[in-house]
Order: sequence, then structure tokens, then C-alpha cells
Amino acid sequence: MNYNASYDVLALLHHLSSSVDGADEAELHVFSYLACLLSVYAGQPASDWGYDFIASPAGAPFAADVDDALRWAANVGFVTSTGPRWRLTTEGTAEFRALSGLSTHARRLQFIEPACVSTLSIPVGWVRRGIDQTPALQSAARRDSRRYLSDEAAIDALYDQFEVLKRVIRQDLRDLLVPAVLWMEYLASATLEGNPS
Amino acid sequence: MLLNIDQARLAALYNEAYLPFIEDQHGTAGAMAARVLMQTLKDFYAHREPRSFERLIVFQTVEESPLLPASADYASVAELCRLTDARMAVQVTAAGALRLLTESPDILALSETAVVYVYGEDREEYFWARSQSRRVARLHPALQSAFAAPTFETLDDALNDYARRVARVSHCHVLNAKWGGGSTRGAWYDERRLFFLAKPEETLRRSLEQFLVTSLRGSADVRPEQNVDETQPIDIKVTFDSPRHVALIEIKWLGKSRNEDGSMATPYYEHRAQEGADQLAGYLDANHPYDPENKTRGYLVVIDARRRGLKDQSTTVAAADGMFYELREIDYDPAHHTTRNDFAAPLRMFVEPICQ
Repeated sequence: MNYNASYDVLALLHHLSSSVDGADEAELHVFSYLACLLSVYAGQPASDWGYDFIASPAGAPFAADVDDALRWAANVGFVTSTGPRWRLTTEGTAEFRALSGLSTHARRLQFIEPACVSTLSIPVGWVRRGIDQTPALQSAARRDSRRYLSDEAAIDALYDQFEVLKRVIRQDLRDLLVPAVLWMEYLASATLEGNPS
Repeated sequence: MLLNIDQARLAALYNEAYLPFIEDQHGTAGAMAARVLMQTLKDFYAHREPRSFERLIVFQTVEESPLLPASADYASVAELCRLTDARMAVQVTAAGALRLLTESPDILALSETAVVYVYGEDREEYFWARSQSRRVARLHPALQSAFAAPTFETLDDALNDYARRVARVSHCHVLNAKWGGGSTRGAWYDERRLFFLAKPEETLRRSLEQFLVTSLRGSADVRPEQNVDETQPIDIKVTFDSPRHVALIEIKWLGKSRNEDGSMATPYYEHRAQEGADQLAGYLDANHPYDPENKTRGYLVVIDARRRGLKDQSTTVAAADGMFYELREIDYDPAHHTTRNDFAAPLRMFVEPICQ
């Protein structure tokens, strides 16, 4: 069991329960990936996130460790599902609150919280579309491959995009919700309003 | 080529955005207050339609300030929304209580020590901080509020909502681009929606695609398809993850169309809908070997802009003629949706013209 992924599942569902009434499995992976990308934006190496992502057949991010963690959380009664929608149980909420006091988890929350709270400002579907347009997933789609999202050219393109974001966003504004919303809205709208990608 | 970010366009989005504005004016406390307000507004609009308010003010202070007089405290938005007042001013306290003010506050003065949300008589939304404001942009014009985006569990619900709120009165930036000052061509030759602009297929597809991305959950992957020829009629493919299934949407339009120079272009009438149904059924059959578990379902969407007696030189239409086809459903023969379980009932979306 990946320790980071097990905490992340609880944290993601805690925040997504408030903003969008829980999460489907695919959404868990999308928001976990967005949180990982926000940590890279904030200067952390992607390898520090603690688990890897691949591109699913549908072209979405997927982390096997998140999938395992969700099964574990369901088995121990921390999460429950109604149809495709997962939510924390009372026990899961208590576990999340207890674990969030640890410094390693508090650091992860800095990225998970704005990733999830972005859904208060833009629709979930726009976050999904924005994530689809991020360099690594676009690269995987073009190569028709389920490669790990660590293609060198795609990582360079990601850093290029972050450089532009940091030129536009005032760097004394610390709230990661700002780049999360701005970046996702920009990427999604670029494909929804007829602009070429 | 991977998407390059246009810095000027990104900067324009940033300068209009309310989140950096709020943090800029009120710091970290402002950013936290913004989160509280956004969540509160989502809860509000889940219980009451935005348009049920003539004016709604919701705020949270970011520093100590005297309490404004309130008539009551509420523990939840659900409880507060039992009231039917058209004008409300609500303070969200640090403890999460909702204080219903007795009077509408001075927004400028209040914004010196609070983040203030206003849904105004103009049906626009603003955030105020330190006597300045930012308008809240809505990602789709059919939304009553940026915090009241419907999210549908099923494609059928989303399509029906599109028919009712978007297609019916062409309530969409993409469809109305030509007449809204946009740079793309739009669907209509004229402002009254009597004639399509020739070859509106791409525009109709983009309009529906944008709506579906906005209103379906994140587990739905909405993709435009490239139509190579009539054997591949699909306009939009929606892949759902849990449980995994695929929806293939074909869009057909009915009515008259004109070229940009005003000359008449191809019209389409009722038989076009049947052609679309037959093409879709043929495509589903051809792809059946690749879908052994029958997880693919076809949807025919018919955008109906027929107007009775419309002449090529018409510039207006009387209501009786403009609305003649409003309730006239199309008879399909063969009716694939009655004989196949992979074919949804065709959805005809009538578009109202602007009548005399």
C-alpha cells in the first residue's frame, strides 16, 4: 500500500465531497494528477509526489496506487459509494482529520486542496478537459501510448507553460487556487472555442 | 505540436479573474473568505434558483469589525433558503453561521473589511473588495450563475437540458458568434434565426460539445470526431468511465441556409433526419465487431429550424409560421430506436425564430 496514495484518496474525497458531492473513480485520478502538477508548479520534483501516473485508454491520467488505495479505503470502511460516486464515511473523515495533522500530509494538502476547490470556480468537466490538454497527456495521445507521463519533451513543455503562468500571475500571490483555475480554464477554453491546439 | 500558451490571452483572463483580485486586496484571509463564499453560493443555488433573487449579497469579513444588525442566525443554507425574500444580505461568520441582515449594507464600506459577493438586479455577479469590484464571468451564457452550473449524471439529461435552455432560443456564444461580435462564424445568417449560415455543422457540433463539457461530470470524456465521409457520421463521442460505455452523437439540422454573400445554400427537410438515423444505424452495425459487449449507444440530435412558408427573400416571419414546427415530431420509418437497444430515441431540438 502506497502511504501517500492512501492519504490522498481520503483528502481528495474530503474536499470533493464539499465542492461536487463526491467523486467518480476517474475524477479521483484527474484531481490527484492536477494536485501533482500543482506541486511541480510550486517547485517540487514530480518524483517527490510518491507515485506515478499513466495515460488510460480514454486518454485520462491514471495512478495504479490511487486505484489500490481506493480499494483499501473501501475495504476498511473509510469510503463508500452510491452508484459511481465515492464519498468519505464518518470513520474516513475522522481518519483524514487525524492524518492531516502530520507534516508530510499537511504539505500534500497544500496541493490537493486547491486542485479540488478549483471546482467551486469552474465546472468539473472543464478541469477534465484542461487536464486532457496538459503536455504529457497530449503527448501520450499523439503517440497512442499508455506511457508513463514522463516524456521528456512533454516535461519541457510543462515547464514552458508554468513559466508563462508565472510571468502572468503575481508571484507574491501565494494561493495555488489562482494558477489552478487560470491554467485549467485557459487550456479547456482553448479547445472549446474553436482555437487551434 | 503541444499547446503553446498565448501569454497575452492568459494575461487577459488573469486580469478579469476575481480570485487573484480578492487575494490582492485582502491577502490570504481574502483567499480563504473567497473559498467560503464560493461554497456557500453553490449551496444557495442548489436550493434556490439565482433568478429567484432580485438582489443577493453574501459576505465574510477578513478582519474584526462591528457586527451589522441581523434579524436571525441560521445554521444552514437549506434552512435559510426556506425564506422567499427576493432581496437578502447574508453574512457568513467564521464559525459558519449565516446571519440574515435586517438592512442592505453599504457595499463599498463593507468591502473595506470583507469580501462581498453581489448578485444584482442586472443578473450579473460581482465580487467586491476594498471598494473595487470584479465581474464574475460565466463560462456558458445559459448559466444563471457561475456558481449554479448544472451537472448531469446522464447524457440524456444533459441533451434534454441543452434542447430546452440552449438550442431553443440559441442561448450560446458559439451559435450566435456572428451577431455577438465574435470572430468565428456562428450558426445563423440573420439575427431573427430564419436561415442557417451555410454549412453550420461544425458550429452546431462545437456548441453542443462546449455544453456537454460544462455540464457532465469529470468521468465523461467528450471528444469531437473527425467526419471523414458519410460512412463515419459521428460528431461527438462521449466515453463514460464508470461503468464504461460510449455514446456516439450525430447531429443533423433542418431548415434553410444561406451563404455569406446571401445566395441560397442547401436546405434540409424531414427526410434528412431519416437519412441521419439510417447512417447512424449503419455505423453502429459496422462497428459492432469492435464492441462485442454492446457498450456503445447511438444518439441522433436534430436541430430543427424549419419555418413554414419561408421564402428565399423572407426577412421576417409571423409567429404562426415561425412556430409551426414547434411540436411537430418526425416520424421515422424505419424507427431504429424501437427495434434496437443501442439506438436512443432521436432528440429533435426546435429552435425558435424571432417572430414579427
